[in-house]
Amino acid sequence: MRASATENRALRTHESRAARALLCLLAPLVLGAASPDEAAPSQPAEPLPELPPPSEPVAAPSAPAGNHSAPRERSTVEMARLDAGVMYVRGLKMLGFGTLARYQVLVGFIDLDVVRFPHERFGFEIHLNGGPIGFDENAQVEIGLSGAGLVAPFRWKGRAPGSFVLGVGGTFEYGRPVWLEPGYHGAPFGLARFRIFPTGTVGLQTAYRFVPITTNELALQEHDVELGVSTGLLQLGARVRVDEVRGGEPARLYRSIGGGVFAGLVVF
Amino acid sequence: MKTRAFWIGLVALVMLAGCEDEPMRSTDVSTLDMLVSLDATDSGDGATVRVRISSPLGGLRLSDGDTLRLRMGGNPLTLREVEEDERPVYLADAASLSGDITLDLERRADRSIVDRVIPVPPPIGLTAEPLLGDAPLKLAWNAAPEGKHVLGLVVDGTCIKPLSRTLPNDVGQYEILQAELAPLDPAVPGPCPLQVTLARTATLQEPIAPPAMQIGLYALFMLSRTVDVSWTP
Repeated sequence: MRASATENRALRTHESRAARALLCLLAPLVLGAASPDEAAPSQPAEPLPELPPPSEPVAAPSAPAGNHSAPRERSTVEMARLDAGVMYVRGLKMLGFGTLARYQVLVGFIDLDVVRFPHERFGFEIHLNGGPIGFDENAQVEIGLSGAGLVAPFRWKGRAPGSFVLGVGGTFEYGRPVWLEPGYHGAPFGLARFRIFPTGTVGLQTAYRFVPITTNELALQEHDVELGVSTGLLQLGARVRVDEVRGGEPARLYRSIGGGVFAGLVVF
Repeated sequence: MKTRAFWIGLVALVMLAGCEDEPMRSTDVSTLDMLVSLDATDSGDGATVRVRISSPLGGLRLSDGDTLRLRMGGNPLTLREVEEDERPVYLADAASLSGDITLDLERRADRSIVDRVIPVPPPIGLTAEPLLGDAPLKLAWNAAPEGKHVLGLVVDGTCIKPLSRTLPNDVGQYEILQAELAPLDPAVPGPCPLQVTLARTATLQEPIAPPAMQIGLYALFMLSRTVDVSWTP
């Protein structure tokens, strides 16, 4: 057995040398044409220095090693998620020209998120959410569709891989806040998302989205905070929503605060 | 342990109940959303002016520096707050309704309504000539032909069927033929005491201030005078 292992190790070392030689040949094609000076070595006849053989061949993380199928590496920035939850919203709404009225409503929602990073640092996301507002005869519908461009200024690997992503985008929403007329608006938004995998099975993610202004006549600002914990394909989390509307006569601040939980399937 | 949990739950319920039953404050209501309802009556034995202020959420109480003031004919009326139907009402008494009412609603954090004049129908001053022979019942009062009000006449008594009609013109005089008075029992002889009441009723409905379009100021005036007349069918 020991002799066989030594033979295998020698065989892998030989294969590794062959792969390195192949990479050297293909590198100019993959990385672009080299300059004439670089393309013409000053000492073409001189043999390449031989690298010392590694003590143990190391397979690339994403490449299968032998017949063993390695677990898929979780992305620190990408995500596909489908979740559902409920949120209780309570706050102040405006009646007429500027009368304060208290209201509360239960909001149900389904979210679909797709986050892709075609490049190392740059990506995009699409978010779709919808659900009923209230569950009585006055029930309405809340719908949101948004897209954003993303940049990942920080992403790291190691024992606790993770990332910090920033983004800007636009959204179209209907029914938020429930009392605001007209019930639809377009808006830009900014977002920040932090993700970390503290263990091999658990992932933590928190995100903040801020809508500074909308197309509504009244000044509306939205804040969304999300915290999710995932294990495997399951993600559980909580969301907090703050909507602030300013305006009316007299000018007032109408603030709504909501909190809820969600559960869903997620693939990182 | 159970007792402690019970008291904690009870306190929480009381606190929640308190949160839900917060009284409606006037400072929560925009002036443009207010409905100021004023009704004034003067039946000859004193006048009463009532003001109710409501909002899209119901009646409200003036608070946090919001102040209502009324003047009639330039003289300030003393308002007091009373509860009617569990709603605050601002009430003032006067000897009679004489002169227009001026309303001031002063608000610290919102639009104030200042020197809002609400026209009041003129006093009536009803008199009736004694019924003699077959002469008609002659009534006279202070004419107000230009007034935007409704003039109603009611003749009532224990021995007649009530007679009620709306007079088309407020010219200051009117006659009722004795034949128009229908006794309940023609067989009963003797004098029949009658009460003749003449009433001016006027309403006003206006937005409280631009840009409000809906009615924000509603006023109802009812001035009446009653005279006694003896009639022998």
